[in-house]
Amino acid sequence: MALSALGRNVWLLSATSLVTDISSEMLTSVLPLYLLYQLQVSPAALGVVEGVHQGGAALVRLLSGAASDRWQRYRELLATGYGLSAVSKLGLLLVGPSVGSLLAVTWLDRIGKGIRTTPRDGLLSLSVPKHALGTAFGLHRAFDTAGAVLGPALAFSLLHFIPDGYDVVFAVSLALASIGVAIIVTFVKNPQQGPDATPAENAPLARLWSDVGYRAVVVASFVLGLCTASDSLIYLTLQSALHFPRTWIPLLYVATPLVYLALSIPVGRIADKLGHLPVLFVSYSALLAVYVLGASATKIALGLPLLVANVTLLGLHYASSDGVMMALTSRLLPVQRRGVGLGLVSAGVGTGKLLGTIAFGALWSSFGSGVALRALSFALALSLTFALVHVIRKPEAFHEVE
Amino acid sequence: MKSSKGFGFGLFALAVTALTAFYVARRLPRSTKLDESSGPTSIASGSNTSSELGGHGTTFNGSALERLRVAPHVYARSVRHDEYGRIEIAALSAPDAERIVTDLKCDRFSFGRTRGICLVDNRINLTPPAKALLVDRALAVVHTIDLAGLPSRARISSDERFAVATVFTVGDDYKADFSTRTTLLDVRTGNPIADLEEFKVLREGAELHSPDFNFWGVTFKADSSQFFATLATKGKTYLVEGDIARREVHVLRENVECPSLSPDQKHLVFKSKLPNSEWRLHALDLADGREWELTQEQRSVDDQVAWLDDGHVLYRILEEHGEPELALNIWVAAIDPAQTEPVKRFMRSASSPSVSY
Repeated sequence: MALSALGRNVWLLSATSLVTDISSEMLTSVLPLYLLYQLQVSPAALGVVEGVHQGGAALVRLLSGAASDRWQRYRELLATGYGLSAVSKLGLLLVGPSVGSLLAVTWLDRIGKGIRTTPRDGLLSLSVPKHALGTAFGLHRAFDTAGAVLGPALAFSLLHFIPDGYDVVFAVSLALASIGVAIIVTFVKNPQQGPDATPAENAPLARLWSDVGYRAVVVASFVLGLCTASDSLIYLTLQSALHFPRTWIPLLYVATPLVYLALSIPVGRIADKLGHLPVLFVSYSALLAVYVLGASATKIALGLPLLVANVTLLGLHYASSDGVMMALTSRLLPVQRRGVGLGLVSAGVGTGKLLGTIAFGALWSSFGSGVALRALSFALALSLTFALVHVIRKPEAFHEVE
Repeated sequence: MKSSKGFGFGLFALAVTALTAFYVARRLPRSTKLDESSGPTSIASGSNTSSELGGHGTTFNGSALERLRVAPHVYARSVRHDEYGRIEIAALSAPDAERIVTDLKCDRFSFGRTRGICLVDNRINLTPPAKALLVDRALAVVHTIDLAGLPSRARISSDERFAVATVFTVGDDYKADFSTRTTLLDVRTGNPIADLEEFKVLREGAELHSPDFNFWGVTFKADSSQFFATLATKGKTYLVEGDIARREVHVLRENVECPSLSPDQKHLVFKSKLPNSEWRLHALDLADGREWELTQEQRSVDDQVAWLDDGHVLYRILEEHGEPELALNIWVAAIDPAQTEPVKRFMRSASSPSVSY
């Protein structure tokens, strides 16, 4: 399906994500500097703030998914979610600088993100025909990632011209966030309810759980989440294995999203043509390759080419995991359970990642990074094999609902 | 209907853009003179006898700097809006009034008599994330060293042989917690000598190993090949004494961060963590091992102190809410265990002081 034929909601949601992501990545990137140089707090406080950032709001995602199923008012939920994040940025400008207020504001922003994520993916999935789901999610994630690249660049440029201009960064961030809200409020439409629209159900989770294919996706997303190390961890391991200068690490934080950005739409198209499951297998195999290369890099002396290969594989993994997973899940879910269904999967991935990071940290501090990475590789290889066997034995479970 | 929606949105976007542009324009640095000057010390801020902020910049000739250097003086990093991050030199007798602002911009700074170290964030250029600049007496850059993180602590030894830079590496750890890197530099050549994490760590003669060692807050002894520093591991912080030639450190005591050694080599002042995660300043008598809290200062102090003289320390405090320009000031406290002198403001709108007699 041609991109231009994807329909206005897809483009509008993508545009909103672009400006909103620029807005929030501006903040995320300057927050450590703001704490250190403006608030003059110790690095230790950062751990707390970052924890709030990454803690995610799994429960909020699930609840807002349930709400969007019940009332089918995606637009209103989106406006609330994007609105809360915009208000939190206004809060940054109005309240004085202190760690406490910063924590409150960051928390509000994350709640907003939790509220909007599920209805946004739900509305995206309802705005395109099923054979174009991969492309639509690919387009949306490409815009989202572009925001993640542009945000820090914009923030640091502002600080370059106004060295103490953290408030200026907050102001520009607020402006972008409110334009995002305005796009939602002005242009985005709820899907037309046909005369045969199914009313909301009771106990949607129980009904979902009885679906073998969906249940497998939830379990797989959680387990694969468990086997996913954070970016910073992967970069750190690569650095110690490949011995490139530590000063290159910031470049990796830009290079990986650029690969993601470049591959997101083509991978989505391929997923629509060849099926979502094969693409997901390729995606997690790419991640496995990153782990294995990282764990064995000390034995093969191939500094730069190996680094480029790793970054490309990692970018490929991102481009072919989140969006494709949502596209696959959407195909399995009837409209009246889509919100809860998508919410549960994204909450599963998030919770899995959080727990995985904790477990990995424990392994790292006891046995060092090499052992931790090998354990992670083993766990991921095992999970992938299980998933593959399951799909081959029960292919009919993953056919889309009518 | 459709076009009226588009019109409304356009109007809103325009209004938001205009407001933001207005806000940004208002915050652009007021003086452009700073960027045109070439020499490292060609900028002067007029002396302001009142404690009002924002003294107007006036150009001066290099001799003004030398005039200030005849009497005891202090180097610091200004946080005034027009001079944000620039190193200033002020008379010790009147640090808020008689001061000169230079072109050198730093996020952390330490100066001896003829040499100094300046840590500066470089995130705008992506890599290296930060740089250490070794500067000479004219504050001109002699050596540049790439650093991999956010500038955190800088010190130069009193004999100016060694300098040390601690950076804080965000997300460099497995648990989004913080991690530091402390690099020793040879001031003459500008070469890194060692990363402190390469040093052997000994506790009561036995060697310790852990992948989570972090070092920061180095302070050099008069014999600059020896130093004190903070070692953090498994959630605790320790005072360590180190030897550069032997490449080892010895663990001395617990709950000590950012030690700073007095000029007479008799006392260490450091920050000690309370259960509520605030810090209080403590002093340690190195001769008899007595430790006491500087109880006159009841606010949390998060700084590696600098010594004003053998009995007083300088540290920055962020005072309540407000613009850093107004709120970030250097304070002075006596270390006398009898605590008779109250703390007071030493210098306004500044951080990173180094005193020179």
